[in-house]
Amino acid sequence: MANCEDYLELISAKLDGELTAEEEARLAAHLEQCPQCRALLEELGGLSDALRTLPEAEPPVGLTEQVMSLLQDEGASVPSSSGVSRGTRRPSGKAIQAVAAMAAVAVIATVAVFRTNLTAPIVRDDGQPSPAVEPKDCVTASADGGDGVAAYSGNSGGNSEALPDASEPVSYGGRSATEATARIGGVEVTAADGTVPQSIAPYNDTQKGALSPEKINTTALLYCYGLAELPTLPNYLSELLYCDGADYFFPAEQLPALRNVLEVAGPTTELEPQETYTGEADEWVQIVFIP
Amino acid sequence: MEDLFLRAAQEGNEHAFARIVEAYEKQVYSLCYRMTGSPEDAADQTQETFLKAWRALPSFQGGCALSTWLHRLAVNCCIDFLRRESRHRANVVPLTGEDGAPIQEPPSPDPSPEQRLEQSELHAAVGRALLRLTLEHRQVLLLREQAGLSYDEIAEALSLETGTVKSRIARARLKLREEMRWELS
Repeated sequence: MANCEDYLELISAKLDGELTAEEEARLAAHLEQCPQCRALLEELGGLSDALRTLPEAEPPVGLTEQVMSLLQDEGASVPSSSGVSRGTRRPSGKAIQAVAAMAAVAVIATVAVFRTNLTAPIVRDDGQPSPAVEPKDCVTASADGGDGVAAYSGNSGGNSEALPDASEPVSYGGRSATEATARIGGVEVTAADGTVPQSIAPYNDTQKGALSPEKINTTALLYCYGLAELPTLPNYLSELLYCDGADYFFPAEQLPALRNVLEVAGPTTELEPQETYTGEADEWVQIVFIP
Repeated sequence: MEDLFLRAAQEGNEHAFARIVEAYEKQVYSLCYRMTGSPEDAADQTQETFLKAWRALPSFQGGCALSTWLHRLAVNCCIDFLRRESRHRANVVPLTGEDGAPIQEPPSPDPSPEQRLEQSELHAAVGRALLRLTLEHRQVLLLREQAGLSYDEIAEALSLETGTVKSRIARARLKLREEMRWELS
């Protein structure tokens, strides 16, 4: 019938639930009288069902890995507009990836929890203000001035800054985050008595071989996101094995004690046992600071 | 939980993005496979889609579901690719895979043996017929039926009027019906 052309679009739109009430009524009236259009509706409906239920195709094995390695090639030279460098965080040994992936998941979870508290001051459960902790041999740590630019930044895609002199305060790089998230500032560290902790060596490419985590036994990983201010930390930093700007590696034995100090100082810490890993680290501590 | 991964990925966390890739790679790959008809091209376009997603993620505002956004990206990647390809060679639709064997339809879930046969034959025929449509027709049908976008969403994705989308889908369905009749004759 000549005017069935007019109803093609209505029939098609009916299959998609995109008809107005008026159009529904108009179509229903026509369908009552037109067997060809009824047949068309049924046929197109069958095709639509078939299209919608087309089985998912199985992607080739390893596609995710290929995508991620494309990203890493890309990321090394492309800083995002927020200033976060998207460079590869570290050479990707399986061990590192496994732990980093786990840690990243936990970090995300914690950041999300604290996100809602970004404007609230830290309050301990007992209502007391967080004390400053200053044990005698403490290393005083404070965040940098506030522009988020550290003297050393471990993941700016291969830029390695010169190692600082022993006579100068050692700065730890941090990633600067976007406005929507907690700011991750650099940290300047000097010992309370003016000396510089000795075994701190910012990670850079030339040290890759010597200090990669696979070679460090019984090392747990500490993810440290500093915000406006860090509490005074004990001199575990002298035990620091290396950091790459965002991650700090401490011997595992130090961590429970470090955690206790930090709990007293205010930020909440969580100790999570390793679940899947190569077995080189037994536990790790994750710290999130709230401004 | 996805929200957390999304926000972290938007800030440059590659590990979070890897979780997103894992969650959606099958859907994206399937869409690319339906668009291009070739497992190799589908794999390439899947990678291209996620690469584009990584770059564009900071500007994703959450106005639609992440899956919707990814599906749009995927179909558009394939369109761009197929258009470039068609300049170099005739838009021949491969009906066989690289090894010369016919492209296998993945098995459908669980019906009776008779139904199973019919259903997978039907799906195979629909898959082939789809590949004989024009790019534009294939694109709107897949965005509507596989990616589940509404007319308005498709219109926005393709910078078209909603009315144009409506009529294009109707025409695409008619064309598909024609191709199916040819397939099954």
